[in-house]
Amino acid sequence: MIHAIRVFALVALLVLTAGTLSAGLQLSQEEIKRIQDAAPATSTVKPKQPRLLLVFSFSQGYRHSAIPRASRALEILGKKTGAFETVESENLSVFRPENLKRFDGVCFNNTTQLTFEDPVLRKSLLDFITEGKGIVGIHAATDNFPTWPEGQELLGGVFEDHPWTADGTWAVKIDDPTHPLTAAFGGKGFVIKDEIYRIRQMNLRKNSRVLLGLDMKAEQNRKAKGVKSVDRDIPISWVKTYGKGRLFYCSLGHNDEVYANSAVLRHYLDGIQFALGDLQAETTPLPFDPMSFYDQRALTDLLGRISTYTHGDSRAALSGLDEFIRGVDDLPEARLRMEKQFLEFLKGSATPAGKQFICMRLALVGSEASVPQLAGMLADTATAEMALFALESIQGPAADAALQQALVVHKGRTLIGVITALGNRRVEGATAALQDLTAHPDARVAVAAVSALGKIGTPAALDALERSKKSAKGEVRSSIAHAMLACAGRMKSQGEKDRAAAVYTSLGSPDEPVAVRSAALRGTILNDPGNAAGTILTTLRSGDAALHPIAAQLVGKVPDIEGVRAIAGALPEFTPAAQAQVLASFAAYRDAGVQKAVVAATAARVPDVRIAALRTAGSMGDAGAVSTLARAAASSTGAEQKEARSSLYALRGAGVDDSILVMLPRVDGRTKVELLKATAERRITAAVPSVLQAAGNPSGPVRIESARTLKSLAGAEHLPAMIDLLTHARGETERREWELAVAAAARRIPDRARQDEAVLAAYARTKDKQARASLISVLGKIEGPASLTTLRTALKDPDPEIRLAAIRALAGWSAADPYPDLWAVAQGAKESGHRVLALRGSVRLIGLDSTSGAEQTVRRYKEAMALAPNAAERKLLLSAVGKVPSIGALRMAASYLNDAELRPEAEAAILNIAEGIADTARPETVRQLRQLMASSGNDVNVKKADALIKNIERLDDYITSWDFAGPYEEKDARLLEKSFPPEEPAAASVQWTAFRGMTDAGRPWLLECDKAFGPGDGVVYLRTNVWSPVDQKVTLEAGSDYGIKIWVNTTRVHTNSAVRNVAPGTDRVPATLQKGWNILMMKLEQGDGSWGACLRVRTPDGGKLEGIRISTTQN
Amino acid sequence: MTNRSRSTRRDFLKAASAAAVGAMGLPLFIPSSALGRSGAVAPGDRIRIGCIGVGGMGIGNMQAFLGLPGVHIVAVCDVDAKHRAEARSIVETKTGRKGVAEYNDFRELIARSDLDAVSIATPDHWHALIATAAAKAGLDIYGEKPLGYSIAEGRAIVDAVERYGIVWQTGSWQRSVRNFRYACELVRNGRIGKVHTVRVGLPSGHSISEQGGSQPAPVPEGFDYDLWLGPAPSVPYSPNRCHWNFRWISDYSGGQLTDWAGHHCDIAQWGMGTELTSPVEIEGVGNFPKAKDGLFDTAKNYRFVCTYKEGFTMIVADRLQQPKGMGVHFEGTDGWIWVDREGIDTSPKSLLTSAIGPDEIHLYRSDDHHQNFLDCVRSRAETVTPARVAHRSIMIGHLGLIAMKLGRKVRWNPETERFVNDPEADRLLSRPMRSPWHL
Repeated sequence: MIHAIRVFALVALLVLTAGTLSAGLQLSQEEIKRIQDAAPATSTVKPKQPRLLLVFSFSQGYRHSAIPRASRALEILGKKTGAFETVESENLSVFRPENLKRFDGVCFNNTTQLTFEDPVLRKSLLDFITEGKGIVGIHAATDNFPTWPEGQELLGGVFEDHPWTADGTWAVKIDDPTHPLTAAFGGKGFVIKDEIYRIRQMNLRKNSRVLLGLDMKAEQNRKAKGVKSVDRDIPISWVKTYGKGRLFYCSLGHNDEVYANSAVLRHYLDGIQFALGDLQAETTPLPFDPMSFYDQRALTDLLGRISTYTHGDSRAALSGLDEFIRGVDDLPEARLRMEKQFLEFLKGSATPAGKQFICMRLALVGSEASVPQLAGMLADTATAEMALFALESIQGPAADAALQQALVVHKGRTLIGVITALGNRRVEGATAALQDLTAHPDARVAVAAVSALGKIGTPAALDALERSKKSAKGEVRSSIAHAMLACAGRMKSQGEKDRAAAVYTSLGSPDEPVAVRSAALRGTILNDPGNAAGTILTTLRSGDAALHPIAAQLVGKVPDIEGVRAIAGALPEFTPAAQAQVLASFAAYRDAGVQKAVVAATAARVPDVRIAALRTAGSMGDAGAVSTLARAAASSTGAEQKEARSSLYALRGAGVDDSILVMLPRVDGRTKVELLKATAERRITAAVPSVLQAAGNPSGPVRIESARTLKSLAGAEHLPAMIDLLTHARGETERREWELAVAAAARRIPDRARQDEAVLAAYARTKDKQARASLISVLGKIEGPASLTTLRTALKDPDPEIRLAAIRALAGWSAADPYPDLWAVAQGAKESGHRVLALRGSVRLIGLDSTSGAEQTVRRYKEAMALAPNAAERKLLLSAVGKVPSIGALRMAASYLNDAELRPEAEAAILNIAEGIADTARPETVRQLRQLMASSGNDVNVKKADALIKNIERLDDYITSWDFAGPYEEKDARLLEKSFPPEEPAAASVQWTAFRGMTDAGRPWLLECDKAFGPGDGVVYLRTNVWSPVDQKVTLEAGSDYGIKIWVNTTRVHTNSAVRNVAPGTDRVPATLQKGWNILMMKLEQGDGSWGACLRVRTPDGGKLEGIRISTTQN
Repeated sequence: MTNRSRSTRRDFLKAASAAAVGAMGLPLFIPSSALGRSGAVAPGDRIRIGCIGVGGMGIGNMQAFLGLPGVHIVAVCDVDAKHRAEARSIVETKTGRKGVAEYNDFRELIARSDLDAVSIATPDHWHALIATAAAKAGLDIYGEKPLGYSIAEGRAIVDAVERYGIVWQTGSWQRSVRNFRYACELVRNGRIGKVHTVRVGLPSGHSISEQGGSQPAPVPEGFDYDLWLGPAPSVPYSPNRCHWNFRWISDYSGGQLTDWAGHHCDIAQWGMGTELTSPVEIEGVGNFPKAKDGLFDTAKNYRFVCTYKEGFTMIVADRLQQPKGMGVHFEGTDGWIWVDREGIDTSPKSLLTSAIGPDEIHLYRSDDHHQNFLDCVRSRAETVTPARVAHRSIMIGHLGLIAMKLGRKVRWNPETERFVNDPEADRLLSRPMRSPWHL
């Protein structure tokens, strides 16, 4: 290569750039030797003259890693055989005519997304080949020229995607076994691990000779993810002539190994020699026959199986036929042949279920050819139903005609089905016959005919309905009204508004039911938008209350704002119910006139109207509504207040916040409170100074609300002022609010280390006792780094109130750190109240301590129990003990069973603990539960204990000794279906490891895969061995969260693609154990969240199996 | 197994109804007589509801309504006598009021003259027939998702709802959960830039509840099996065919895909603001089981790509084929938002506390799905999940199913609701109904 570059550098400086890729390639000597060894020793033909091949390796899109290897391979191919020399370039200007003319051929080496938007380059490349030179494309070369279809077609097509990915091994067939370019493969198909492209062919089969293609009858190729049923012709390699020149393309070459494959290298070499004009080869296109995929035998076989199908049988043949249809249904010829066979099938002696299935499929693929036979099936009620499914669906006039003829022949259900089919197909020719049937003595037939006319919906159908209506009664008559509404809707959408209007008018008659009149009124209003407002007004002013709801609802559809204003102006004239509904409809308009009416309605007499007005004001209003809403919120309660508030919070428009800001200082009392709330809800941070001012208001509620607002809005800069307000708070409630507000503002400081600074400073300088206690409380809420030290000191403060505040603050701490401090207080404080509070805090913190073991926790609870001054405290303690899943806790709780006062708590704790520790101390747990049952007077607890014992006993035999392999993860794969090494024949090489994922004390049977392997998608295999004394039938009782498969001695006995919660024994699988050791393997699929399974071996009827042994090592 | 699966719809309903008591006032009341449904005045001025289909979800919805103020459940209807007896006993126990009527046939319930609304929770193949009949009677409807068994049946429901001006709420209750609304508001307000991809992860496989086998068996006493089948093809009864498991059988449902598209595709459409339109190209692959058990035949694994002319792609797949599993994952130029029943997550994280200002886009706010229906029955306003929106949500599931059944790309016209020059695909828009049933 270096030599070639130097030679070329002398003739065209332009070509070379520093970016030449080969410079970055460090192929090892070994790799080079592999290519060297694989390359043919001699070329198939001697070049007619020295040949120079341009290897172009520049990508404007994805850069393939194979590029340098391909360059080297091409260089070696040329050099070793003497067929050509190569020059590599990454500079597009090499395609300028003056540069290109020196070459005999160009190879696009995995280039992607080359735009070639310079017309000079496009013409140069086309001239180059037209005038007799050669073009070669390797792998990604079809992924170029996105804006140049002519260039895409030159290569044969354009890349779409590659369902056959680089990690798969795919079967390749030879399209032309005698072609000189396929001699490289001995003319025989082969398999190769490589990435294969699906391209959009561009006249490829018309102007090129395809040499290799994917064998789309091969199962592995069909099963690749993303393969479509229309994927039949997937060409890989082809040649063509173009003007006087030639093109050779091969899509192989993504993977490195391909470049050391001697057959592929020979194919490249022959292809290049063809393109260079040295190797003569046929280029006339070979036809591709998609019908070769129509497997007559397969279809016959499937139909044979379906001919004996009855309900309850396996559906395998049915789904096989669906798969078959999917595979060929884009081929008209295939559809016709298939249909013919379906019709033969229907003539034969197949089961009714088989025939029904075929009829349902004819509904999807049948043509007019099926019509006569299907029509014949109407004669027999046993086959009429299935035939109708198909007949209704088959397009074309033949089915229309057959159905019309059937109208006069059939009766009962078949007749109704025929009528319905005609209606759904909108067969206008059936109108007259259907009108006759509206007078049929069987009302079901008549109603079906009416409904069919409604669907046909033509003026003639409408006429027919109107004629029928005169004499119709009951159910038929009301169905006519509905059908006329359907017709009128169609007329309206087709511009026949007058005809529609007439229908709506006639159906507005008071004789009609309210639903019909409502629909008719709606039709009238929407049909004539110009008069919509007038019609609505008239209706709402009328006493016809039944029509008010629909009229009110349609206010939102009035097209002219004047009309809406007129309705708004008349609002007080309507009934309260209608007013409320009209107000809801006003939400669609943002108009000052309408808004005025809405605002006025907020003062209406009827609460429902006020509420509706308040709600609408929120969605349509602007700054002008602030005052109304704030005052409404201030003066109301309940639902009305809720509505006023949420509307105030939702008001839109630039001026709303400003209005609130302006109004806030000017009002007092409840209105001020409401505005403060709005300030917080709307996050008007600019209002903080005003809120701070309000905090000094003489009214308590205003001050409290100010504190709450600042809790939402204030930042660090406001802390000093807020601390000041806190220290001057009046009354307990207000002080609590300020404590919360100050803590919230402090916690908003991003630097955790500085959050408590201001409060600590204030504490240090404050003398007032109450203020100091408050600041301590705040420190307990901030939990800043220095807070703890200060609070510990405060525990020793001379003032009991300060000490009390510190105890409270520490008792609420979010971690166990202050436990020793509180415990000391609990033991030693003078004041009994302090001791009790500290004790409660201690108990709480013991439970928070995740670092100490169960033993230590129980010991601390026992110590605390000794200090507990009364039964109430001891009860609290026992319930805390009940949360510790340990045998020590169980014994501790059990020791209080004889204390009449504490007994209920002790029982509850025992039950709670027993649920948590079942596996570690099963016998003792059962003993303690039995003791509880024997002595308890509480039936509920006895039942619970009994259930727990049963549960523990139920756990018998669940297998806990397993080895695992995996997890195997693969993005987007159907993991349960996909085969991984443990289920492959060569499973011996799989690495098995002891499974340790049984941590759920409450469910000892549970194999917790997520604990063992972590969450995420994947599958894992678990394996163990079962020794059986005899050959015997057994039941495997298994459970899993997601998909599960089970094998016994490499035979798969169970598959369940489940999504559920793992529970014991949800899957009961019959299996056979041989005498001696049996291998038991489970495959478990994971989805999201937890991932577990369980399995035990029982007798076929679920009983205990004697004499079996479980071992991962067979000993 | 996860909380997301554990928090079943029924749990939600319980929580929702518990929360509703007290939290929700009775904002607007207009009695039945004023609505003019029937001229009858409802005692105590309550909304009078009949519940059609009171197994699984139907019972859940009924209990949710029972927990709300201003409701009378006056009648229950189910083709299974056990279901309706249980439902009636629940109502009578809860309200201490006897006289709840039981019906086998929904037509008799709808014919009552004293109803304001019905709640419909039947298998999918019944939705359109019952809903259109109720709409013709002028009844407001709380209807379970998916809207229709087919696109055509969904369209029939939308047309009837609009023609009769009734109030419709779809059981896509995720719209009444804060996280979902918030996620959609973040997307609508451009917090993650321009969204180019939405990934929708739905459950995979079948969650089958064994009911006693797939073999044909005698129809149990008290179960009107022919009425249960209704418009679906005649086949012999098997226990596993009916009740919960109907949804794995293509005669009655589209499987997990259509069972859930009304939830997560609905949220995806809400976030993208494409609630009243549809994708224009759909392509994907489904794995239809070779049902050995003889019954369940809907797609277990499925993945399809929807291209919208609005300039984004929606990838709908079972959770095993989605990088983030279950939920809706909006991917934009400036970040992403993931939301599911388990929670919400965003990148950047700061979005989680990003407030939606008063002047930004606020989506329809409903905090209780059943209460929202009742409010709208009174105000005549549109619910948070009206039929025309639900129709578009479930359409995505149906379109995906059709593309997968055909095994090829299909092109769709959202305006005409037909495929583009594709009569073969158009055939899958509806399934004929077994006589004597018709819309």
